[in-house]
Parts: sequence; C-alpha cells; structure tokens
Amino acid sequence: MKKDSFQELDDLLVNKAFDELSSFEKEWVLEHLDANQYEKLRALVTASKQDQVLKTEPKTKDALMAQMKAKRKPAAAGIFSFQVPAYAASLVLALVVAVLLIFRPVKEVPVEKIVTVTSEPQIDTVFVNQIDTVYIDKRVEVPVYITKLVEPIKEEKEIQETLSNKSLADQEDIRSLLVQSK
Amino acid sequence: MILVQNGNHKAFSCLYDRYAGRLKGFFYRMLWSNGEMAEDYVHDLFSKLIEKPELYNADKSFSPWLFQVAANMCKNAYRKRSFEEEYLNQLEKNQIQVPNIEQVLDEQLLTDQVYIALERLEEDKRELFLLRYQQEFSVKELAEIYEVSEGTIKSRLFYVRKVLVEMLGEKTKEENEKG
Repeated sequence: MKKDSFQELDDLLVNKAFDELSSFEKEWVLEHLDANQYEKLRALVTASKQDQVLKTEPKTKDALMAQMKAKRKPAAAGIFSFQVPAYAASLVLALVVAVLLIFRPVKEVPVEKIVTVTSEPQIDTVFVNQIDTVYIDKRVEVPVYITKLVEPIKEEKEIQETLSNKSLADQEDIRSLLVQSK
Repeated sequence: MILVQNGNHKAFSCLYDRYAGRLKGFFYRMLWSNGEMAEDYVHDLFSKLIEKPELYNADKSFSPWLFQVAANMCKNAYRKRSFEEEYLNQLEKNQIQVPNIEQVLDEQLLTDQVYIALERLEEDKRELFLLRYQQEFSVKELAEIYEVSEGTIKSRLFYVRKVLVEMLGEKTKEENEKG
C-alpha cells in the first residue's frame, strides 16, 4: 500500500463495499490490499460509523440547562437573589438612610436682611502703641521766703532814740504807755 | 458558541442537541464501550463549556475544537485507568480479595467486535481512527484538531490503516489455523 494513494483508498473504504467497486477500482484496490483485507477494513469503518451518534439521557441535558441558567443569570437578578445576613442588610439600610439625611437637598429660602452701610470706612484692626511707663514732670513747689528790708518808721526811730538813754524799767513803762495810747 | 459565551440558553440547547450524541459516540468507543462513562464525560464536557466558555477561541472552528477537548479528556481517562490498573495489580500481589471489576468489564467488551479491533490499537491511533471514520472529520479538520499539517495527518492515518490491516491479517491467519 503506497502512501500517496492514501486519499483515494480512504474515499473508497468510506463510501463503497468491495462488490460496489468498478472493475477499474477493484484492480486499483487489489494493488494495495486483497479483497478480504479491504472488506474487513470496510466493516470496521462501517461498524464504527454505526455508533457515530448515541442518544444521550434527558437528565444530562436537564442538569446542564439548570447549570447554565444558574451560571448565566442576569447581573441584576444576581444581586437580588444574593443571600445576605439580616444584620448586614439592616446595617446597610441604616447607613443609606443616614447618608440621605446628611446629604439631603436643602431648600434655599430668601431672607430679607437690612444692612446699613456706613460711609465711614470700617477698621477691622486697630494698632495701639501701648506705653507701659509714663513720664510726668513733677512740679515741686519749694516755698521761697523773701524778706523785705523795711526801714523802721520814723516814730519808732524817735522812740528808740528817746529810750536809749533810759533805764530798762523806764523803757518798759514808756512802751506800755505808747501802746495804750495807740 | 459566541451566543453561549454571552449566556444564551437557547444557543446552548442547540449546541447540545447538535453535538452531544456525536460526543457520546466518540466517548463510548474511546472509553472502553462504557455507556455510563460516556454519558458522564458528555456532561463534564458541556459543563466545562458553561463554566469556562472563554476557553473557546472564536477564530477556530467549533467542531474540531470541541473534539480536541474531548480527545484530551480521554487521554486523562487513560492515565487514570492505567493508575487504577496498577493499583489493582498491587492489591492482587498483596493477596487482598477485591471484586475483579476489570474482568467483568472485559467480559462485557469481548462481545463487541469493533471494540476488540480498536482495543488492540494504541490509544492515540484509536482516537485518530474514530475521529476520521466514526466522526467523519476531514483531513483538514483533523489537522486543526491535532494542530499539525495535513500531510502529517495523512501519514498517521496511513500508518493506522496499515496496523489494522496487519492485525486483521493475523486474525484471519489464526481463524484459518483453527478451522
């Protein structure tokens, strides 16, 4: 059996029994195989082809379809059918409510507010140079005694002149007289 | 298959109806003519399609790709079986009494003439034979499945046929001697 004649012989084996071969084909086949070998090979090919398709059990398909449905559920259905513990679900719910309360949209109500604008410029910051020590010139009044030299009056001079020649007792008497007379 | 990748149930149903029977036939012949096992393998294969539809590359033809996956599953089954056989042999050596599952299976299979012929083929040759003659994949499709050139496929098929002819010749000789 030559290798290059593979395809031709293959086609004949698959399609024709030895008896169905034309005389030319038979002659050609007999160059490679005897009639018995050809028939046995053909029988083997035919027999293997008989169980080319075997009926499968319905339960196999059912199981596979169920598997397919379970595997290929839509994403949304998957979320809702996912089993979550009750505490987790309630926790998530509470969290969502809290978030909604915090970030809820606030209605803007216009409020009229009278603002008086002064013409004077407002000064926010006042810089004050604080002086810790204050120096005050202290005025100290010093009493100044000014003595005035007054010349004794003329009468006194006359009296003194009169009294100078007199004794002390007389001087006293005279003075007392002078005082009384004044 | 693209629809299946997008989760289309009807597309999956169509796909199953189109290929499940053929796959079961292939698994049946590949896995020691065991119907239940073939059914399980069909289920497992389609289950893989559901779980990992992204494994399929839309640039490739679907049918050859599907049978490529099936063939790989069979290879794993052979590995597993050889391990189990070794384990059973080990048990026998230790003279532990276990029900001889292999014997029961073999007796059942002896009645199957196609199995007898195919059983004598090596696993990879059996696989190629079934894909070509049972599932009727063209040489081009087989080249796609095995990711080799068409010439390589022809060469391998030629060799498989040659082995089968020799085997059948031996068998005929045995029958003549007995007669």
